Amino acid sequence: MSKITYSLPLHNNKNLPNQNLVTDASRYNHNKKPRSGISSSGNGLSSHVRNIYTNGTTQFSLPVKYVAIQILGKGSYGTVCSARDVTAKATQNNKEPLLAIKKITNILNREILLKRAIRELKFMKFFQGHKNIVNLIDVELILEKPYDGLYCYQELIDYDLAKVIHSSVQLTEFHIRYFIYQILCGLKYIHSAGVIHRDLKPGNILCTVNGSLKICDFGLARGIEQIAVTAVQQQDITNYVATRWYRAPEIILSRKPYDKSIDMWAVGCILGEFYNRRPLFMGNDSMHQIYQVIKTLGYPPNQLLVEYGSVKAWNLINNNSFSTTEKKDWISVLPGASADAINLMDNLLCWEPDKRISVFEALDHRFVDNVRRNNDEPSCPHGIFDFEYESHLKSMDALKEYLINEISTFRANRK
Amino acid sequence: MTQIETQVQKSTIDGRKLSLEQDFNINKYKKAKTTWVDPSHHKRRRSGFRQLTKAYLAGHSRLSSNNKVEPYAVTGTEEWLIKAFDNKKVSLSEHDLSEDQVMIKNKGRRIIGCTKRTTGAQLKSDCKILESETEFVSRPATVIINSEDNNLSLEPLECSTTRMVLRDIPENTGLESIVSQIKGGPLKQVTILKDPSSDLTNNTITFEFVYKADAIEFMKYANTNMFKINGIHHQVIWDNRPIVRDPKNDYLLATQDLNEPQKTRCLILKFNYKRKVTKYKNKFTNTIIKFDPEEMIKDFRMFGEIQAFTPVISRRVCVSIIFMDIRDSIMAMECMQNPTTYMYKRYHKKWTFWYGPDFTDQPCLT
Repeated sequence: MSKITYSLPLHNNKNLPNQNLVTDASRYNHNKKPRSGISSSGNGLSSHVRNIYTNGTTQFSLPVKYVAIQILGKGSYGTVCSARDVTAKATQNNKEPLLAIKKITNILNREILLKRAIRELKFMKFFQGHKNIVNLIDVELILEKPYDGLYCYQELIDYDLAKVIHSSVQLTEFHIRYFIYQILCGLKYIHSAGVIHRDLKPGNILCTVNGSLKICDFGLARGIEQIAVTAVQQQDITNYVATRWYRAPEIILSRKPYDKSIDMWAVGCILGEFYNRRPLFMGNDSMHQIYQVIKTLGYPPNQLLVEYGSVKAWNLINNNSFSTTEKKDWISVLPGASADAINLMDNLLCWEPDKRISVFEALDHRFVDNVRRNNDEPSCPHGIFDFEYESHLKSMDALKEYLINEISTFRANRK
Repeated sequence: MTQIETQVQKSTIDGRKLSLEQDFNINKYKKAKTTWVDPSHHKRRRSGFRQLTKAYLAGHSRLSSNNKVEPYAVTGTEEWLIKAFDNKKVSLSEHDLSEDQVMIKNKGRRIIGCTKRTTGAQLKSDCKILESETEFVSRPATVIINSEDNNLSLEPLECSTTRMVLRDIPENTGLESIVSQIKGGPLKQVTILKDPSSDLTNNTITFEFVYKADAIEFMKYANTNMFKINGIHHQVIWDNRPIVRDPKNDYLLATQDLNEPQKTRCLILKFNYKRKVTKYKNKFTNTIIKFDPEEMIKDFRMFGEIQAFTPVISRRVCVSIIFMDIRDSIMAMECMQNPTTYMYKRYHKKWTFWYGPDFTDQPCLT
């Protein structure tokens, strides 16, 4: 058994030769037996020898070609760390081959997390190659505890928009127009495939130093057709849709299926956050979130609340705790915003989902006129994303097998 | 070791003790130095914007405002050199240079011409010759270029191995979509060729890498299915057709300083003003500075077609201008440094400018 010793940047480093790496269905079926045969690669390192990195409760198992650098972030989904690809060449100007590794954990314990992981992988494959969507480089599934999880190897981007907005970075109207335009371009690509992102927020939009934006985290994305489901199922879906501050009011109040307009609401929230340098509606819970929206947009029309048909909506009709129900002027909420920005805000942040402009209309808005490139706003060439697969996956085993097959296909198609 | 110390040491080696007070305006130099990003910061862990922006800037030359006219060198036959630099203004110097070098003067510049192709190692020795044989100027002598290492060729037919072509680009796929997927290293030029028989806007795109090694790496990457533009794998092929281009500005390719990082198609301009520091995190306030990019785009379009004009993440107003051709970017930079030009008056004091990294200067990960 070959041992490799590296100077590893995280604590308690050890190496883990012969770790079971599941890359195809046949190997998955035999994963309980350690493989004795180790094939040597060109550099003399075993292709199955892996390095492990631990830092507190975070455990990463990486192929020897990747050297972990530091942890970039943690969330309910798992952990992201940066790494260096030691086999890739730096450019002549010495730009190092760095990448981000997102480890999605607990997917083998909870069905919903496994479903999300499959969706994320499928969407990343489907949307690969768009300038405003993050690129997936590689993916693998590790079954051995405590390193188990789906490892997504992605391009490394300098910041996310949350960091940019909540720092002392100087933003001009030009910055904001250019950023919003790129978000809309990415969203057009996603929506044209019949997919709703459902978790659009500054933290899920990555940003390079030169101002290129890339949308990431498709774990919550769904198909539009999928959402036309029964009321009971719908109630279940809403529980985990979208980060609260960017959640459209109909997700909280309505029992009816929502649509792409929930992403447009999130774009409106992000636009407001650019000017305000803080989230527009910071609710502590779902109803407090609605109250925050009411403070700015005024009371929703009673007719709309009746249409929502939920207990929460009904309670809202009978609630008279607000002294004012008038809509605030956006210019007082967003100091320094241009007339175009205010007009776009009006069109994005309105109670009625039907009145919210679509991504296609938003791209035609004069707010993005100056930064627009008419010939470079592609729709997804693969057509509507097919969610049919989910209806066939009724058990954890079926889901696991499907995920392994997806990984296998992805890796085979890379070559 | 600071840069001033380096200068003193070199002047001693040269046998000429230079009085810093006389030969350098120390105040000016220090002023420039305060804004210089030390490339030694490269290895520092960076988490804040300042550090990350520094990382972005490090390794890229920020040209100080008090640059003096410097010698630089180009490669080519003597006949070609004289022709390229305008017969009327060229005069060969009697400087004691090596056999394959000639000294020529053009528009106040001293140019060392190398009459044979050199390697990186040879260029370093050329530097020494240049330092010892010319008067000391504000920075060490600048040498260049046409080595196999960097492939900045002046002769039009020589660099076809760094040029590639992408054909049959679908509708609604613009230049930004394509260039965003190109990796491997900085580009020298991007050209859009329109087929007259097609209705498509950008039918064919050719792009040329600065470095041959980067081009080869990209070609390997482009042959995998990882290279996708809007979800579709496109075939990239080497473009071996002879280039027919105007050689007028080709001498600009030869102005690369070995002591400075790569000149690129990208210029970064940062607005100079006294910034009122506001901790947005605590105060929840914002100051949107009025900035109209239209005039700036108009000014820079004079030099050539602009591929993109983008904002840069910085604590001050900062933008990047990416030209289609590296020569346009060098020309714009030279104009901004030339006191007799409109661009100098408009940008030299108000803005700090330098070459930024090309967006394509990222390693190919497979």
